[in-house]
Amino acid sequence: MPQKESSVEHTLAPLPEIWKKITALDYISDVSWSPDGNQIACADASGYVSIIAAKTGYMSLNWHAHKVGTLMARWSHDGKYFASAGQDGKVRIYDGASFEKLSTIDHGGNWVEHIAWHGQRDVILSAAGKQLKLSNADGSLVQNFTDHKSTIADVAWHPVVPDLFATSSYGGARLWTISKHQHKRFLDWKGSLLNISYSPNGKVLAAGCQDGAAHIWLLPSGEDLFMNGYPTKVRELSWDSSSRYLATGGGAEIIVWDFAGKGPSGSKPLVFSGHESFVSVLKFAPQGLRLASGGIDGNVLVWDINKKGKTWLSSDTSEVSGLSWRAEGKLLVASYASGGLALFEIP
Amino acid sequence: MSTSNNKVPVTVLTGFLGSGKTTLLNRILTENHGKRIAVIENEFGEIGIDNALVVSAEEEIFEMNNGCICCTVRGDLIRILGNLMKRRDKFDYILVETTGLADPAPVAQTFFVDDEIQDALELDGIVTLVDTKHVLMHLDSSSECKEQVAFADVILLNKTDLVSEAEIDQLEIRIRSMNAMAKIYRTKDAAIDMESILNIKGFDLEHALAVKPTFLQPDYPFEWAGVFEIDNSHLKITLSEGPDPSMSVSLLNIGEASAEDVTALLDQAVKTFSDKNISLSPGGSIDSTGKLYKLELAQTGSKTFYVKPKKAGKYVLFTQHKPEEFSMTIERNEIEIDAIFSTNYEASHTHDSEVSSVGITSPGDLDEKKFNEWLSKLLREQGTDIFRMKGVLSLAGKSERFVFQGVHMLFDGRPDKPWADEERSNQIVFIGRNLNRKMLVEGFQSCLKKNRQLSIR
Repeated sequence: MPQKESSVEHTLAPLPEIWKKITALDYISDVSWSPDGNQIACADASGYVSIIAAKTGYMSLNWHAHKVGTLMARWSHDGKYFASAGQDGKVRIYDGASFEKLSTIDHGGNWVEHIAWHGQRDVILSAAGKQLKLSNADGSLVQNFTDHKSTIADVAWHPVVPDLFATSSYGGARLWTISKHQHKRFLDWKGSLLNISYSPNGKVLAAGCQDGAAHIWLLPSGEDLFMNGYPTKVRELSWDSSSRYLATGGGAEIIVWDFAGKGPSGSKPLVFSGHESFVSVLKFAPQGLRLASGGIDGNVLVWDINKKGKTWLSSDTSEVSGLSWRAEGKLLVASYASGGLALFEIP
Repeated sequence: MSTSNNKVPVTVLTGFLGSGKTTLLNRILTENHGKRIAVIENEFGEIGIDNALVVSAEEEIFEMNNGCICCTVRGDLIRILGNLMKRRDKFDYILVETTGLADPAPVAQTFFVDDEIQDALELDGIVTLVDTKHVLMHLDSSSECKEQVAFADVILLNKTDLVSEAEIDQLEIRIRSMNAMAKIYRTKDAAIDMESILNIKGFDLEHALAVKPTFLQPDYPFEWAGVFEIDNSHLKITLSEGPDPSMSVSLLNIGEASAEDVTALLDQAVKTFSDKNISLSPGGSIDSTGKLYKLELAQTGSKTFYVKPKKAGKYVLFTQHKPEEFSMTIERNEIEIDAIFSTNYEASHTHDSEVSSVGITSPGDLDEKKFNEWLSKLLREQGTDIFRMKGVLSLAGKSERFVFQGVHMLFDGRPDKPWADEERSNQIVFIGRNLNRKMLVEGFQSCLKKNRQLSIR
């Protein structure tokens, strides 16, 4: 890793909390907003899905969705549908308002670790082991993507080009279009890529690696950059909406790479120190330069990476397992390993 | 791996197809009814027990960093175990069953390499099941079979009802020659006490070498011993040219014991052979017991030495090399005599030619810097072939003993409890492929603060 710039100074202010409740029975694996911003969905390790009213924090509905554990729960682009994925090898599709069960996608014995709804249409990608499927809301298969040789670690739709998506796994990243069952392009890297994230303009593909590194491909050239020296595996990646900054975890410090000009090649990253132990989640706000970070230390911090201004802090005894901003970028929901959920409003 | 009480122990079960892994797994689950156990299985549907969460895993070997074989891990285990440990209803125990053809190294290394796994879990031990009826078919041809034996903390010689006792004895000798550290049990239908296989702390530094390694047919620092009755007339030893310009010998009093009772003196002899030697030129006399004499044999022609103990009695003479290598003769009153009883000490031929254990024990203190350099170089150059190692060291200037253990190139060590009244000493065991005992011993020896001789056990 290039030499770090001196850490950004910050003054701490308490993060204003609207409500905080124990909403789930176990570790919350996934937390997300309904497209209308009125509800929050939680998937937890006990196998439940909970729907929470954003205004009050009250649980409006919960159900046992998957044997063993539920790993993800997400609404479709316009909220018409809702899907959950779990360790029973199933994806369940529901009505997005009534949560009436509509269909099931079966992946056999493998855990369904990732689902991703299309940005404009009612089709959903689901990945389980080496299996990758695109299905309609009625559960019918659109495409089976076949040539994965290693377990799919992450899936991401292209933010600009419809029907294009990327997957990461051990050995590299693959780019796909939904019309072909074989990948379109393979970006190889000898390492285990834990996640994959397109910059919002679609010009950069970033991946965090098991061996304490981040890997970046500039598109369409495929030219790559490699940033290593992180204290631990890099599970956390987040782009700001302008595609200029990429925040990375992989340690107690947050390393933010600046893609302005010729960067980040040869540039020094910004370093944000505040967590007492490893960062567990990073999320840039949908607009602006606010970055939310959660840590194993139970702290949620909201940074303004643009100026040496105020940083907001909320502490908990339980590891922060997820963070999700509401679309307008003011409300932030945090989920915890304890099954707790908190809603914050950043002034 | 640091030790912490709230870490969930993990036992890895290995063994060839048909060795009884599933039987053992079911036995563990039945006998631990009421405990929350997660089983990571490599195949579907072989076990069905209510209290266990069974997760099927497809073995995925990931190479870390530079693609070195020593840094391979099980990617599927990182993912599955990492996820399972997030649950609030923590497991009491986790069992990982490998495929019959699995190399245990990536499984073990997973517990050293991933932070998340290291924080929550502790590799307790590797239990290897051996099908006594069929293992010999694999032991010679399959490197995986050898690795499973070499990596094990516990080896169950299973299906003993299908073979004769003599065959099992032979097999045990063979397996012991490969792995001096493992506990070996003979079982029928994988019936074994749970405490023999679970919570054994095989990778816990605090228990490094708590189980004393067992070496078969140790390579003694002497190759021959002969018992003589010596009265007022001394013995005259004559040696001709041999392979070395010198030979160490030692004389011990055997007392009233029977001539065959040399075995009781072996430990004492080994100790004597690690002492500083007394150089003896031709014509000189071996007149004390319990001392190491170095017979100088550089000059040409035959060389004569005398054995003149102060008291009459029965004595045993230990020689570094075999007497015939120097055409050694022993005379009393100008008459050539034979020993009352003599025995050769040579490397056993039951040793596995490829996989073996090398143990080094030595009194004295190690130069920490030298030792680090030596071990780093050794692991860099031969890490692929060194499967496991464990040791307790006496580092010069440190009041605590230093304990360490490793799998291939991954090394873990820290200071342990202080030395008390006992003699400070070092003990290391290596298990690996193509280990060069002489080179390891010499390398270790070069790190000792005072250049002491050491025994090879």
